Amino acid sequence: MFEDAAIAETETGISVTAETARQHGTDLLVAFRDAGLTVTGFNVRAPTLDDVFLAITGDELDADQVDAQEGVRN
Amino acid sequence: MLTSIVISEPASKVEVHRCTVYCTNMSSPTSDDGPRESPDDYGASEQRASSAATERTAIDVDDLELVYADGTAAVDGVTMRIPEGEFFGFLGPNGAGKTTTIKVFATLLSPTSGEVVVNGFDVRSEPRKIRETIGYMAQETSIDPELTAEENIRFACEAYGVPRGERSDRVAELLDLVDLGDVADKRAEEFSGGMKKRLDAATALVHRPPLVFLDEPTTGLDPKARNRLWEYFRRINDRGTTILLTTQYLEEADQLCDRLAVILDGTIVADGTPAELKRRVGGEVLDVELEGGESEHAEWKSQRKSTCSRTQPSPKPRLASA
Repeated sequence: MFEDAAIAETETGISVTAETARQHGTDLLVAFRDAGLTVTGFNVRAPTLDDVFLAITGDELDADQVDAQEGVRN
Repeated sequence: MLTSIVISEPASKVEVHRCTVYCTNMSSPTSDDGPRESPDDYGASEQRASSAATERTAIDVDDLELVYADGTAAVDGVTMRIPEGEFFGFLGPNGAGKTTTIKVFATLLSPTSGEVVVNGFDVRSEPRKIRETIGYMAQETSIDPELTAEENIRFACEAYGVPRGERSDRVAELLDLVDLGDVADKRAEEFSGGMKKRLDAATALVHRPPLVFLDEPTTGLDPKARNRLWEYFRRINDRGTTILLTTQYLEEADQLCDRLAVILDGTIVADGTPAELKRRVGGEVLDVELEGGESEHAEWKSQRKSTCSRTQPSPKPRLASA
């Protein structure tokens, strides 16, 4: 369906990043239905810096979480 | 009345403050480690320095390394350039090396190796010149809570050697810049967290530095205060001041910075304008909310893996380079 997609698990479901995300949104929904999964929300959007950070590190930069841990060197 | 306070005890407090900051590099943790430059680096950095001079560069860094005495590389090969007037951001989690890097730029820590030129001055040979031309807003505010807003700025003027005749104008100008004119006579201890930060930012500007470091200036503030502070930082930048900001907040970096460097483990893993960085993610994002447990998602994901060329999380940075 997607030539070159990146998939990340989110708290409420998944997010798919791809050049053709907008064109294939419907196909994705159909695929979910065929797989017996109920979609409760759906959104197509431009990437944010959160996505940038996720792409680089494979992890989100959660400032609140970071706040709790005192940096050793900083 | 004010003058009497100015020359009394708290004045020395301010000096102690500044001295503490400046003397930190004496106890540099890098003293045990010798420089580790390769011969090739010299020619390259000379070229950089000469071309940078004509382009008016605020910060020019070539292969900066800072290794602590215990062998930890806090900064591990940073090369970057910030032109004058830019609002530049370091983005990364705690311990990534943001603050350490800034402390090298501010001459508070000595680099283990690499070249660092700030406002045209070398950090090793001309640290004094650098200190005269930078403002540094540390994570911990350096204002005196027992003094009023005006007194705090006045003391900073004194500490930075602003000529006596210019102090009153400078104080008024800076109180106006951070919108604290109405509370100029209130003690700083009565201020909210955001107001304290604004006052702190004002005290860092008394000597009209062309370059200002803001080290996590909004950490711990509520979103409203944070938003308000952003406006002042923009104002400072609009005056032509180069700003290097560190932050853990993605939105802050996005809102304020002309250009960003993402720092992880002492290395810049990506840099560019916020828009460039977002473009490099590749395309658009489909967010799908699903009913059901994690296990279902995981199962679905594993099925998808065969048809996708890439899956998250990837172990290595996978942003396309510019």
